Amino acid sequence: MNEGWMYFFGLLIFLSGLTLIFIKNLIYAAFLLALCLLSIAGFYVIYNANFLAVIQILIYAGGILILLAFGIMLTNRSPEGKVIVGHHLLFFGSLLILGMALLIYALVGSSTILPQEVHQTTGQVKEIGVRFLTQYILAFELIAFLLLVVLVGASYSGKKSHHA
Amino acid sequence: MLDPIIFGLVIGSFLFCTGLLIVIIKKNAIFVMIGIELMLNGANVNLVVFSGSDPNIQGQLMGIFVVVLAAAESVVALAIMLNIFRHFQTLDLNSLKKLKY
Repeated sequence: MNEGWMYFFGLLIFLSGLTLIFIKNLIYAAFLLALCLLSIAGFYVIYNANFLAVIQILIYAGGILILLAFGIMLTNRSPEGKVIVGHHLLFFGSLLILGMALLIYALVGSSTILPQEVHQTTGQVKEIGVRFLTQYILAFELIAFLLLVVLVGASYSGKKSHHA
Repeated sequence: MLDPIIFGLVIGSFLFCTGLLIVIIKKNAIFVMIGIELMLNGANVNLVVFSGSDPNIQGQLMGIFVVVLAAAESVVALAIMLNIFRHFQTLDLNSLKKLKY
């Protein structure tokens, strides 16, 4: 357990999340999201989830972020090249989030099922693979089918419609 | 010195609250999707923190499913947003009021 790295990644997550609330340029927001996701991957490594950290970098930082940049470039056209996004409902939104944070604080503070300590687990990839193909085989196959459905559905709804 | 478990839970709930706030206050549909990704990551951080003391690593397996579902969701959402932009020429959530065009 390396405490310094834990605080470092936690601070990075905190700062990038806080900046994401106030920033107005959509391109900068996408890069801040990249920083946030990579720091979350580092955070996973500290909590002994190495395989999930690699998956996080591959799928989130490599896939979803490219997709987001692609969506920003295809949809928000402006002549000066900046995409400025305004805010609305600031007061009620902050009020709601304050209530939500208090609720989570009360729940975590009053719960008695907190985990005890982080301990080192080795051979995670083998363990995950065995569990995916024995215990979680139904969920694994269902999610493979879901990916096929998403592929077909996205390519169908993304093409130009004929009647418009 | 803070307990690492408590610190992880704080980071997870911070990410969730930040994502929800972004979903509420931003005007652009793609920014709302960034908020949704943050919320999913907050839930994932919670799962990983709780799975740290579990020899069966069930939290990590759930986390992998969450990541795959997030990828699927963002692909479909972006396809829908491209169609909306083609019809209305905007993604401003305040001006998207018609359900039928």
